[in-house]
Amino acid sequence: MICSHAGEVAAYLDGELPAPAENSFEIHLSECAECSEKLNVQKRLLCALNFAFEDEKSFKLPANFAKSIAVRAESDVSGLRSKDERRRALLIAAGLFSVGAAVGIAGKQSGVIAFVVEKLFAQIWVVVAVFATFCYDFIVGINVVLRMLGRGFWVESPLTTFLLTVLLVVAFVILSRLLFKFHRVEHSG
Amino acid sequence: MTVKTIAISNLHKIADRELIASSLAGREDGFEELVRRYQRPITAYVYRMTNDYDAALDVTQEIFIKVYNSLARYKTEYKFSTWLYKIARNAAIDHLRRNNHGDVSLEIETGDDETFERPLESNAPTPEQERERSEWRAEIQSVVQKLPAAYRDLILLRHSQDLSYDEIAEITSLPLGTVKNRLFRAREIMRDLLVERGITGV
Repeated sequence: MICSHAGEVAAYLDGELPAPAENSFEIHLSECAECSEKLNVQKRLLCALNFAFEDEKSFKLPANFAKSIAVRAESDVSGLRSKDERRRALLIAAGLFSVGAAVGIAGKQSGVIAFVVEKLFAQIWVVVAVFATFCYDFIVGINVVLRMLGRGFWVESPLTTFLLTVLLVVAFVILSRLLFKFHRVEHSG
Repeated sequence: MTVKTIAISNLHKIADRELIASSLAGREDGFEELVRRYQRPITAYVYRMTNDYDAALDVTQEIFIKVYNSLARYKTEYKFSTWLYKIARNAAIDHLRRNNHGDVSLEIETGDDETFERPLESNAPTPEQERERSEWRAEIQSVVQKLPAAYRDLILLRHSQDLSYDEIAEITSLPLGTVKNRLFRAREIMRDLLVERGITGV
């Protein structure tokens, strides 16, 4: 037989019954053995729960956790919150676009700006070319090393070279991921 | 605006509402103080829900970013902490769903008998008595973990977060009567789980 008041036990213990209900429940408690028994059980569990979570306020967190969250939240691009901010961003973008367009038109007409732009592009092209050469040399270098290493125990074929290159790329990706993870753990620990 | 004149050293005395206003006005330390205020309870709550420390840190970060992006939509007639817990609870449940935890549903059934050990918060060697206390604490926490999600959630909001029944009802969108009954039932189930483990003193 389950007493219909049994459900009140937890709320009574937690001090969550309104005053009139609390008074009538106390009268009921003095008459109902089942509810008294449940009250004792729930009281002991309440003590156990309070004990289990008493250290919650000193929960261990990484150093500077709040700061890093605040910085990330504030630099989150989706967080342009106010209309003012959005309007300002639009204005800046529109301003830059009109300056670009004006330079383009002026350059077409005068030829002087076209000359400057041409020079600038030539410079950028040199940098890109140097970088591309570097990448090419790097890959060739790795290829040579792989061939030297592989000669001992691989039958040299385009397939083995390809497989080794894939292996190298995979190893490179895994290594960089590990390094990133290590950095993250170190930072948060 | 008066908020702009408040010294940084007095930030801890300012009400949440003023911090929100100062954050919306573009002051960076306003939001940081809000995070500082709630980082521990929120991370602890998410950790108790997910039982995964690293995930709790990631989810907490997501929660605060979401809060930052929604600050302008926060209605001041509600308590900030209630609104924050609502977001935190949804994020924790989403995380559990994403990671295919079977017990996210509000179905009421007892958990299986599989036992697991939770690493204690400190591994430093402690005197015998302290060790027993830690073991007891871990035992109760692991029993809470075994509760069906619908009960565990309420037990955590009440006992780990010290929230009132009204706040819990608001956060979970459950009627007050359901909160009351579930908390009672949750403790009954906990007692049964402890008895199953051979602990009868509770």
